[in-house]
Amino acid sequence: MVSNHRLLSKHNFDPHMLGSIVRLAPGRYSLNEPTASRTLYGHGTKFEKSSFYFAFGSPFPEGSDLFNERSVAIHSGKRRRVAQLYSMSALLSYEQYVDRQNAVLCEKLRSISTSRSQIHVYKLMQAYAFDVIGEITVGESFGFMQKDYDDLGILHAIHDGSVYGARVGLLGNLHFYAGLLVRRLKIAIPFTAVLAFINKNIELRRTGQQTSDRADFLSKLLQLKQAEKIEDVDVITTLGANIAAGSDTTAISLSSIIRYLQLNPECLTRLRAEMDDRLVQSKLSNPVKYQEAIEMPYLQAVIKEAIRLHPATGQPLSRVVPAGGATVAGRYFPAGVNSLSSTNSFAKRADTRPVCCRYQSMGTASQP
Amino acid sequence: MVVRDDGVPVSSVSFLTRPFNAPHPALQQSHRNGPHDPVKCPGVSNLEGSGQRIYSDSLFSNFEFLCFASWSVMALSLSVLVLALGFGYLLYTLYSVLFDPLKDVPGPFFARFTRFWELLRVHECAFEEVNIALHKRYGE
Repeated sequence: MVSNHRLLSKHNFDPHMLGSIVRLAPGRYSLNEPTASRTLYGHGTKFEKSSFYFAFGSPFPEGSDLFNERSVAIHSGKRRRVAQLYSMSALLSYEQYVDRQNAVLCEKLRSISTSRSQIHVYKLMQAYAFDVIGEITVGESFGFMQKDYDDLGILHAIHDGSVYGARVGLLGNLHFYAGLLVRRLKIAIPFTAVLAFINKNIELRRTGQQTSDRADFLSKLLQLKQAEKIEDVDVITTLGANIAAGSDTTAISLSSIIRYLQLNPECLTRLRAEMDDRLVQSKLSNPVKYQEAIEMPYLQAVIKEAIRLHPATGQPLSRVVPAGGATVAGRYFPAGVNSLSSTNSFAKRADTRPVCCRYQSMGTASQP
Repeated sequence: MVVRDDGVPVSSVSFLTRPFNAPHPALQQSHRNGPHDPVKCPGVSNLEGSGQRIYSDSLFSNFEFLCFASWSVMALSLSVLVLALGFGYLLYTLYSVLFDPLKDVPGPFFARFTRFWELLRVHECAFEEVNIALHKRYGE
């Protein structure tokens, strides 16, 4: 067996000579073919999520959420019920609250640059993403950026949950039996911290001890619940998805943008020039509005390129071949057993970067 | 269930609590009373006094043969079971590898047989790099 290190150092070939199909495990194949993406993940796909996703949520069907629900039919039903909450206009209505956090972030960056202290970019970005998610989900920021400290233990819990899912997801139904064991023995799991936070907020809002000045996710969900359009579990899973899945992908993408701009100073210069131009033409306000940002072509290109170079998902997004089999990437795959994944986006990467997966939650030193 | 003369159910005197290779209580009893003495069975106790006798030396007339299971017999049968299951798993794996319709798809050798190859790579971190390296190395 070759270790990761040897595999990575020995085979540094031309990135355009990547092969299209490779086996990862019995019945698991990785595809590197642009056409495969549409077949696997496109609208109206018949490819259901594989058991890999299962380990990232509740092990029991009654608690399944949008991420770990494998059935396409159930998933689209669930999504339809909460889709309006995620529409562009609904999200843009939160812009003024997000701007508050943008101001906090700018203040933070300014103080860091004057004191010339070292920062952990990813942690700061995750704290920022988290505070934004807090603003739009439960109506108040978590204050992680100011506190520099994960006092709720949520970031740690999310990290542990992702590590668990990444490993156990590869072992089929093990997650279900682990869930039975956890329920039987009443073991504390990482998600308990997130769940406790959600339940506390729901309870406070229901009893009227806490009010919100805005139509945040929680109040919209409770309205839908009162209109009996969704159930209790949907309220919890939607809030849980925002909190558990919203921050890390955002933080990874933001960190990637910063890292690649740092690696490519000429791009940074060009981006700054674009911003200066806009500022002179008074097409930029402070903080920058969404409408202004999408009209900056170079900024958009930088964002897309950084996400292409380092997608937020590190593992293949595996799908199961539907009944009757299917031809993907010019190859026939029989039904059922094979999970397929398209690594198209990240397999096209031309360069390598320092690998860092050691993670310490913010403020772990001060935690018990 | 077999009951001793003194009313103690024999099968509840488990072979697990008995000293290894010690004679079974049922044997002690029959040896005490003679080799072909009847053993009372609660389920058929109404036959007592009807002139019929239930003999313990027939293996299949009742479930008394369980009384003779010793540690070594249980360990042996358990290991045979485990071996059989393991062998079956090996055969199944070999069959699925040999008759895999996609067996010409390249990949790491151990990934043909077990999911633990991928699990180990994920455990070692930076799987996205490994994934790209795999396409470089094995790509068709």
